[in-house]
Amino acid sequence: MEDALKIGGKELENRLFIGTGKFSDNRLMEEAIRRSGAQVVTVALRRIDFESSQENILQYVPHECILMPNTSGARNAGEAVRIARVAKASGCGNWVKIEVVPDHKYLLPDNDETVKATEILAGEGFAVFPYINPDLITAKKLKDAGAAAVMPLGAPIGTNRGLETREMIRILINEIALPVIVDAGIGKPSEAAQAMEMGAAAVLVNTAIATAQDPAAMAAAFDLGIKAGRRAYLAGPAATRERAEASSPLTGFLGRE
Amino acid sequence: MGYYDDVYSRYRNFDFDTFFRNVTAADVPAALTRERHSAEDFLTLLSPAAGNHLEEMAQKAHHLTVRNFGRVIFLFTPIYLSDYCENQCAYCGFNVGNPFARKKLNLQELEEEARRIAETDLKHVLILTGESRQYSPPSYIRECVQVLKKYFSSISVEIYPLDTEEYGELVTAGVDGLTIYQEVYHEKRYDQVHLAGPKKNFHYRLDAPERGCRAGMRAVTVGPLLGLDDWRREVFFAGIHADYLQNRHWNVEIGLSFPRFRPHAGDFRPARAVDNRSFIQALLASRLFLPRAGITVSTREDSVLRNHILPLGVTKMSAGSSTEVGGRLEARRQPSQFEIADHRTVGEMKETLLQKGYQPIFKDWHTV
Amino acid sequence: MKITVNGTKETLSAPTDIDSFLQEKGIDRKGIVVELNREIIPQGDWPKTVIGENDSLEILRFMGGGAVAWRTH
Repeated sequence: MEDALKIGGKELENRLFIGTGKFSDNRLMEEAIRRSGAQVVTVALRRIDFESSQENILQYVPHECILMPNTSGARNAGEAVRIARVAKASGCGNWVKIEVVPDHKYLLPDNDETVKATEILAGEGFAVFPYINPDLITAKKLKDAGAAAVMPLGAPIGTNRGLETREMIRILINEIALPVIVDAGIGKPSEAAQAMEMGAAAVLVNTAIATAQDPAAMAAAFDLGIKAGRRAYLAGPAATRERAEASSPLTGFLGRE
Repeated sequence: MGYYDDVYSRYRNFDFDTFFRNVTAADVPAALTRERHSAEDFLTLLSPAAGNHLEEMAQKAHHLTVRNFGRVIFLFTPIYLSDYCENQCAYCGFNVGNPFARKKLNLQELEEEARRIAETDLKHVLILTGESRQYSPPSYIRECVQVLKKYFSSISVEIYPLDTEEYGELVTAGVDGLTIYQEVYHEKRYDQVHLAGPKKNFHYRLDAPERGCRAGMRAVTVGPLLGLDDWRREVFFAGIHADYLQNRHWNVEIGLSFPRFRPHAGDFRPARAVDNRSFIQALLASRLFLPRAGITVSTREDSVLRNHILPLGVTKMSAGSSTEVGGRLEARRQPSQFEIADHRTVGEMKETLLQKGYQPIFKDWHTV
Repeated sequence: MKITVNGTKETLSAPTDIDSFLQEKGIDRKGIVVELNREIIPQGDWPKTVIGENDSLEILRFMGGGAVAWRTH
């Protein structure tokens, strides 16, 4: 496979991860997943509601996709670990996305608790994908803890604001020897392309697809944006010039020896 | 695990000559424009082809350095504690085979020397010894540190390699920096120039910087002694060594230095003398590859060169140096480890820096 | 016999095993996870695991979403 993303013990061809929240209809979601070409689909664990009959979402996820349960709802490391173990018991594999979100106003993650949960779950053989506020020290600790990737947010969940945290994500990409998957905040395919041009390994998109007027068409557009950004990254963008004028020579003293 | 297994071994059998030959004129600007440089870019910047792009490299290195460090130069001075040595390093004045009466400072002499250095405003000293566990054991070095602590806020060591625990004891005693040069990164060449003595153990020395990091050193500096083997390859191995340490021990300030071979007592002549252009290329390529690393240039280099390279990426310089034991005392002169090329006093050095628009820094931190 | 199911108190007329309980509730058992008193019960053990007095049962399944899904029931 050319330019495969090796991650969590698997090789992926497609670098769009797709989330399953906020779709108005499961059939729309299924079509969006298919059109996106995504090979990784995140799902949440929830208590069954006995009052209303609910369809099993797994029926609508193409069976060739890797399911990545998230620990949404967890407010601390202990809860995240518990949810991850429960998810694994359902027999859907060993991938887990750690979300520890005690903040209900902006839905921002708790990095410290995320590191703790990652240490425990990586030790139990999970491929751990922690969702974090983009912070270098946290990312280094996650690397040491055995994370399979880091998933920094581009902007708060659901805001569609794009790469507001660009500089911090750039630092993670430069410094962390793990795939960096930009998660949350990406609102448009052009923003996903920018993340990929910077060297992100993949992008996770949910709200921007699920709440588009035509989710399936938007999913296809994200697929193209991510592919374009990835190709641009591999092609090596030319540098922008900081200054046009020539500055005074710094090596004139050397002459021609 | 460690630098050798994780990084060095990947390049041990690498065909550097072919790589360098195949670097084209177009490869250099391409490598230069990237915001972040891979190990391969670093090699490209060290290639003969990149030698024609020194000015562009210098401009970028200058801007990176100003952005990361500002216009400041950190000053320190070496203190040679003892020239007893069991090693036979072909290139060194302290070689056990050089017949001269060895000397070791007693604590009174050290205190006198410390007092004189402190009068020059310097707050950071680097203490050095030859390798002799008999005459300059770690316990002696710790006693010296107790004396020096009264005069200086930062004490680094450049001594024979120690175990992690011994480094930890030095840290507890008040040492915060470790400088240890591999001298030669090329394994076979290393064996050839280290004729006898404990220093023959290539791996023990190679792992010493990481042991220092583990033991809690605040700053660790590595580097090759330029002139003993092909400088491009040597600088490459030192650069990826620093990169490895930076990634693995990110709370330690990792630095690089490229001492060039200088004449000394004995008749060794460098196999691969490094000219100024090459030296500058090594400096620039390293700054570009490691934008955040400290780079030290000692008084092995002369005042003209040291003035010119201020904007190119240097962050630390020694000043008012003596490379002989008790060199600042009136006592009988000892042979020096190597000949100094920049004889300016600390005051003169400070004056020059200010004139050139650089701020001399004597103390960048204080232990509490 | 009183038990708690997904945080809600329920009364069972007679002791029953997990498998029968789910069947009675009309729940599609594919992709379901059951915790009994916070301990995960593997699907193979459902027919032989009997729900007792004051037991707490969590019946979970995958849903769309992230962020706050666990609690938005």
